[in-house]
Amino acid sequence: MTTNIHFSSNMYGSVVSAGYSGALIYGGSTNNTSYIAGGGTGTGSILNFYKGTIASFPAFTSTTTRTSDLLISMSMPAGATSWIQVSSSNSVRVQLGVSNVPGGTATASGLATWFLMQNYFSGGTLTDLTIRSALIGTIGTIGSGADMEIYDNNIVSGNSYKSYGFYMNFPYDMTF
Amino acid sequence: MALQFNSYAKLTALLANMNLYGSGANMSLKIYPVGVALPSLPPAYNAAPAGFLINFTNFITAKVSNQFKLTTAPASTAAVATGVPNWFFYVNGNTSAAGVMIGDSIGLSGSSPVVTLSSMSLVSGTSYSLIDMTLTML
Repeated sequence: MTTNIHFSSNMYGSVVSAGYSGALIYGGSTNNTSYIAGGGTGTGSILNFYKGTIASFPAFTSTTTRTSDLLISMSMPAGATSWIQVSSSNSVRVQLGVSNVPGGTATASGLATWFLMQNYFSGGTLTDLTIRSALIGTIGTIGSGADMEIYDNNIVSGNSYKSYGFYMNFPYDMTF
Repeated sequence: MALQFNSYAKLTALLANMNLYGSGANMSLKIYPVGVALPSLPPAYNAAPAGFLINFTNFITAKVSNQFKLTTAPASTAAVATGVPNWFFYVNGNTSAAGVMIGDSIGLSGSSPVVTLSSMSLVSGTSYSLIDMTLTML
């Protein structure tokens, strides 16, 4: 049975929040394993670019299984500086994964095909994706329709990169 | 493809924080007939359309695992009009912060609707029960 549900715009008020410390996206500076963006300095979240076939949840439970495919890892700024809530009439729309300085140096060369954005609060093992929030998406060049589009996804070891991020929508209309 | 959240994010950070749940006298579930148009956008918390068949109040909803569920049902309630249920208006409070959800999934037990009623043919003055309300989110 297909079910069409429409939520009011304030349903996501505590999911994307400047002041609620259990949120998915948080503008404050305290730490919590729930945040996928925001949180304290140096312990908020990281954005990793990988080569190879994209992982899949729930099977992807530890980043150690894909260490050999990691091309670059960027630490995201704390608080509200790594994400921007943008207006939308039919969803809560957020731009995530924004590094305000060169976010990191590539440690390997290869064609970036997918990314992981994960909570990086030091409570617990940092590679364990069963105890902290994470999301994954595809990487492609501009116009590819990938979740994150970049000008050149051929990552070169030793080069520095910064991220303009990607958009995530929480739609008001959902079909279950 | 769409972005994928892991289970921790879905349940701990997303579903748990959605403003769907509540309890008390200000909880309201109004059921409407086909003669009242399903709005394209949820009305404000205090602007439910006129013409409802029945209004269940004073119940409890909560997150149960990966579901939004009715955990304490309201008392049986008398219908105020006669008709066939077609869509619902749910609100979890009586302030501007209240969350509103509308949908067209109403039925009897066994058909797995979001809102399960004791009857799909309501008669004004007769009491009916809200059997269940379940939304499997993720």
